[in-house]
Amino acid sequence: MSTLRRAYGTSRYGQLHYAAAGPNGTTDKTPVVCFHQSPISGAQFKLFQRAMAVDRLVLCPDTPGFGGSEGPSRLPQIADYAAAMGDWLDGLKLGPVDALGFHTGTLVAMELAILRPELVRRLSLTSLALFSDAERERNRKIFGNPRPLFDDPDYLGRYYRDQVSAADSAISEVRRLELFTERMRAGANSWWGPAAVFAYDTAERAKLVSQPTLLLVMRDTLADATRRASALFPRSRVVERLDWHGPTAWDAKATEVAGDVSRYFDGAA
Amino acid sequence: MGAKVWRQYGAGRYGQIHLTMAQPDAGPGSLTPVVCFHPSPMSGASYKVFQRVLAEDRLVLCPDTPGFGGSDGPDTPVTIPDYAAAMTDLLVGLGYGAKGKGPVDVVGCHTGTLIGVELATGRPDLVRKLSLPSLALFTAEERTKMKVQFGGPQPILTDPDFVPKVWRTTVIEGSTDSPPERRLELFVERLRSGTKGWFGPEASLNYDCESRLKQLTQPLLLLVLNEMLGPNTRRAKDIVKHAVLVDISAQAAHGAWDAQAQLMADSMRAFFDAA
Repeated sequence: MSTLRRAYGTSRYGQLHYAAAGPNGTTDKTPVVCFHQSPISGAQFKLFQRAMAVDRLVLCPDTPGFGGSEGPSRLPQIADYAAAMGDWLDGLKLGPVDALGFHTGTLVAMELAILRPELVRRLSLTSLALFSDAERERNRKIFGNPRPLFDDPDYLGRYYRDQVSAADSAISEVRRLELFTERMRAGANSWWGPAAVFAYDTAERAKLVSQPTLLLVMRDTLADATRRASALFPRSRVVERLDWHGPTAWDAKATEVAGDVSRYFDGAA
Repeated sequence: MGAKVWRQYGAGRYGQIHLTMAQPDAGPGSLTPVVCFHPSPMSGASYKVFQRVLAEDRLVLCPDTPGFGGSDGPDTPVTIPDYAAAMTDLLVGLGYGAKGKGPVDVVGCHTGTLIGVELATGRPDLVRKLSLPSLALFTAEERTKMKVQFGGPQPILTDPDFVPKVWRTTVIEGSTDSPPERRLELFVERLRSGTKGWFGPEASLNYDCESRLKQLTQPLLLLVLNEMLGPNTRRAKDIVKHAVLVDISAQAAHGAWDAQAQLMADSMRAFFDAA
C-alpha cells in the first residue's frame, strides 16, 4: 500500500506544493512526476497516484499559481512553468524522472524534457494540447482570457453545476466537489494556464523531444490531437484506450491507467 | 520592516497539519511566538493579513485545524478536546513546551477561541497568555438554540444551490472591507473542508466553555469587537475575573482581522508584551 504525503519544495516563483506517494519498501524504479490540467492541481491525480505508487515514487506537483503553489506575478509561458518544475526537481535531487502529463500538463512535461533533457527519461502524454491555428484561436477566445468571476453574478453557479451538481457521475460527488475547490484555488488568475497553452507552439516543440514518448489516447476533446502528434514526436508510441474517458479515467480507471503507463515506463524503449 | 512568510506541514493525530509561518525578515526575535486558531469552516488563511502585521516583531504560526484548509482530518465528528490534542501534537512536534522552546501565546476567533481555551487548560505548559476576540462562550440554552441553525451537516451537495448561495453572500454581496480577490480566497478556504465542514461548528456547540474558563489560570485578553460574539466575549469577564477586557467595538467589527489588522495586532502586542 502506498502512503501519500504532501510537502513544499522551491521554484523561482516561491514555494511549490506537491504530493508524494511511494511504496513502503525501497524501489529502484525511476520516479514519476505527473503534471496536471489547468486550472486544477496535482490533486487531480490523487487516486491514480496511489495506484501508480505501489512500486515507485510518484510526485504530483501543483503548477505555479495553482493548488498550493505560489505563482508568477505576470502571465507566464509554458517554458516558465517547465523551468519552475526544473528548479523544484533540482531541489529534490532525484535524478532523472519519468514525466506524465494531461492537457496543460502535457506541454509542461514535454517542455521540461526539451529544456532539461537530463531530468526526464521518458514521457507519457494524454490529451496533448496540440491545435491547428484555427482551433487555437477559437480556444484562446473561450479559455485564454479572464473569467467573469466578479462581473457575472451567475458565473460561479453555472461553473459549479457543470463541474459538480450536473457533472459526469463516473466519479463521486464528494470528489467532484474536491476538484471544483482545487479549480477555484487558482483564483482570478486561473486563466493563465490555458493562456500559456494557447501561446505554445506544440507542433514545432514536439519535434525537439528526444525521449521515448507514450501517446496514451483516451476519449476526450484532444484524442485526435494526441493521435496526430505521433507524426511529430521522434520516438513515440500510440496506445488507444477510447473506452476510457480522459477527464475521469484518472479516478475511475486509476489502476488500469497506471498499468498502461507502468508497462511503458518499465518496458524496452 | 517586513515579514517573511512560508507554509509547511507538521504532524498531528489525524495526519498532516498544514500551517503558515511568518516572522520578521531579520529572524524570529526573542518575543514569545503566537499561534492563531481560526474560526470554522475556514482555515489559517483567515489570519493572512493580521499574521503579516503581527509578525513584524515575532514568529506567528497559523495552523489549519484538522479537516480544514490543507490539514488532514478525522473521518467522523470530533470534540474540541480532540482538536486541542491535535494542536498539542503539532506544537510539541515543533519543539514547544516545558521540555523544549517553552510556551506560546494564543490567539483565537470563534471555534479557535475554544481550541485555545482547551489547549491552555489541558496543557498549561504550552500556553503563556491568550487573546480571544469573539469568544464562543454560550450558555447551554444558547447552544441548544444555535444547534438548530448551525449544527449538523450542511446541505452542501444535496442542495445544488448551497455553494452558489455561499458565493453570492460572501463574495458577490460580501463586505467591501476586503477586495473581491480576498473574498474569493476565503470562499475557497471555506469549501476545502468539503462535506465535513460542519465538524468544527458542531464541536463548538457541544463544548462547555464556561466550565473550562473557570479553570483558566493564564492571563487572558478579552478583545470586544462589534460582531455577533461581542456580547459573549464581554460576558466572559464575569467568569474569568483576572481577564483584561478591552473594547474596540467602536473601531473594529467582524472584518477587523483584515481591515483593522494593525489595531488588532497593536492591541494584542500591548497585552502579550506587558509584564
